[in-house]
Amino acid sequence: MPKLSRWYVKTALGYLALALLLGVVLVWPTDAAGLRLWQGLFWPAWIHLLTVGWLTQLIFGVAFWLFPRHSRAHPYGPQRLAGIAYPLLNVGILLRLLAEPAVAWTASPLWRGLVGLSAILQWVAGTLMAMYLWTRVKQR
Amino acid sequence: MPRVSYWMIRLALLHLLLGFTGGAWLLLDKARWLPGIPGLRTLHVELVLLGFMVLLAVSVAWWILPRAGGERPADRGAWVAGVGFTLGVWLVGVGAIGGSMKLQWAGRLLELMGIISWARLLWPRVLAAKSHSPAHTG
Repeated sequence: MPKLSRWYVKTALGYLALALLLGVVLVWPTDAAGLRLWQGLFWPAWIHLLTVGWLTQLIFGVAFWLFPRHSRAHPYGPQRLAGIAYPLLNVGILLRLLAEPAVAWTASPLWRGLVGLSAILQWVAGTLMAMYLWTRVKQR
Repeated sequence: MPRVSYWMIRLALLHLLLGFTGGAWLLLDKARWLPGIPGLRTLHVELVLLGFMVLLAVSVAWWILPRAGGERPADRGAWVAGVGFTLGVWLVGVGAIGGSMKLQWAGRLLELMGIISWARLLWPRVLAAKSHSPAHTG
């Protein structure tokens, strides 16, 4: 398995663990109104830890490894695209984890800016990976 | 990879791009940089979870699972299942944006029929994979 695939898959597993941990906190029985509010605010971030951090990133890692080789000389083709997508996606996810609940609570320009940045980073990463994997889809 | 997998995987990647675009729009709406669009959340979920993840999974399975009886099955059934499922995804999405429950209902029905078709096509090949596994051959 190539190095970049291992990074994607290991990071995906990390997000799965984080999501499961956060999942416990989100349903923690409490009468404290403050904690209940935060449990509600983290709900979208939890969903995206599972669907983007875990599932999508696992798909990216396995597809990078499994899809038909680009060519004999360059088996992984323009892998720079997938390499750039990795940090962008992960910074985007982590920013979202913090900024999305915060913006629902405070709506300050700083947090709104971080939510916007997170959206752009994740979108660019998704676009780069779609472009990259496109080059690896080949007919027999 | 077979022709049907080639096109369906590319379609799944297109759905990934569009689904991520919808997701980014929703997040930028939360940041108050872009206006909200009614029904966009449903379109986003439909494109990413079904149009990307599910379509990619069944298309890769069609490519990679062993051939039942040693012969590659005809692609026709997979084309019908894939196109029907994709049409379902888009009907649900367009129905959500347009506020039409009837379109969404028709789309969900097409998705269900598409996946049942995929399951019927792939099931013999899953059994073939099982008979190839070390536990059965050893």
